[in-house]
Amino acid sequence: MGVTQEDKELLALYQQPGTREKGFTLIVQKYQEKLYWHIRRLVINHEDANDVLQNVFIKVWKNLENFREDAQLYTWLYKIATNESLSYLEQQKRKSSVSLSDVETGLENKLKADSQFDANKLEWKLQKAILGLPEKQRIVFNLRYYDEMPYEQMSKVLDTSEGALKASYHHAVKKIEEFMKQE
Amino acid sequence: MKQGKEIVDELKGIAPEMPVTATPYSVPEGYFDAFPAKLMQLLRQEEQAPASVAEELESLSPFLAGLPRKTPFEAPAGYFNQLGISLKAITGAPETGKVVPMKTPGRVKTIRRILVAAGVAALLSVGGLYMLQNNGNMATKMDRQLAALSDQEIEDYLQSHTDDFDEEAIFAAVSNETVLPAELDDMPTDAPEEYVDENLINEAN
Repeated sequence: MGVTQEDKELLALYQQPGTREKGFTLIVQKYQEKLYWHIRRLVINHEDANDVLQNVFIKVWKNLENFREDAQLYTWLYKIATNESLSYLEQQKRKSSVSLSDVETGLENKLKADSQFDANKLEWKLQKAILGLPEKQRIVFNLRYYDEMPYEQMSKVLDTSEGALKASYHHAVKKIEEFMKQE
Repeated sequence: MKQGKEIVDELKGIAPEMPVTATPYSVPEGYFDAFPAKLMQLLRQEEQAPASVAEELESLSPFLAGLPRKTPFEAPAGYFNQLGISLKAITGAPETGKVVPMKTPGRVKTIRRILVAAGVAALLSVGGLYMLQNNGNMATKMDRQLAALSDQEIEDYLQSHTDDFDEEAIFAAVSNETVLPAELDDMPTDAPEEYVDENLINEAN
């Protein structure tokens, strides 16, 4: 599946020197919220999500000229956002020189530090459960559960077969269910 | 955010008891409205040619940018021309020295170890010989001192400094008595006298 008609128009605007910024701004406006939430669910904290989102669009600005229209803009953007989020988490891990489990504990602390956090509310319990998942399963679960991304597109974002993604989602759901029952 | 029917159905199929909830996070008010403009500002800053030092200072502190940037210190006349010579005089090293590798070659290390081991062995041998020689000297010295003493002096010393046990040990050690043969037990007591008399008479004759 290639670029949608709407995205084609936005890209055409971007490719014209006179409307380059306008085209880019429209792309940002169209995708910023989806990407923000995808990033936010991975890095938890708003400030971190904002930093990563900015980095994502800076990369997009620099590389949009090379974007091949045989791919969907949507999946391309998600791919960049996922990679940037993972790089950010990796960077944090290296900075603090701690193990992955400590980073996860750090994410849980960020979760608890959220002004809206309520340990008794189901949606926050679900977030805690998601943080307990392995990184890849966490991404798959978020993309499917919250973004309702078809496996076909997810396969392009994560460079993984649809079968493996389905299995991953299945495992993730089962683990979360178990966690929620225990809580 | 509400999940679509497809996702909810799929979820119910995998985990019937799992609740379907929305993301609990929130964003600051107007964040998404302001984001594109902020991003464009950031991109314009990134794309701008790097500011010169003067421009950067001007934007950071117009006050400092207005001050003269001349350093008030002065170096002695000709200081930089003579710096190389002065340093050479202080360190005593040539300006360009031969680079000597810090790592010692393996063969040199082995030879060094052998030399150290030989040195230790030689030291131990010399020490041992010296000690042996000293012991011999001491024994000789004691013999000479004892020989210089008179018998009377030794006797006096032993009488005043020995107990019964020592006496027995001394007599046992210095006794010149020889065991007489068993046939002499039956000899008459005047027989030796007769023997001496006869022999002395014979010798006198």
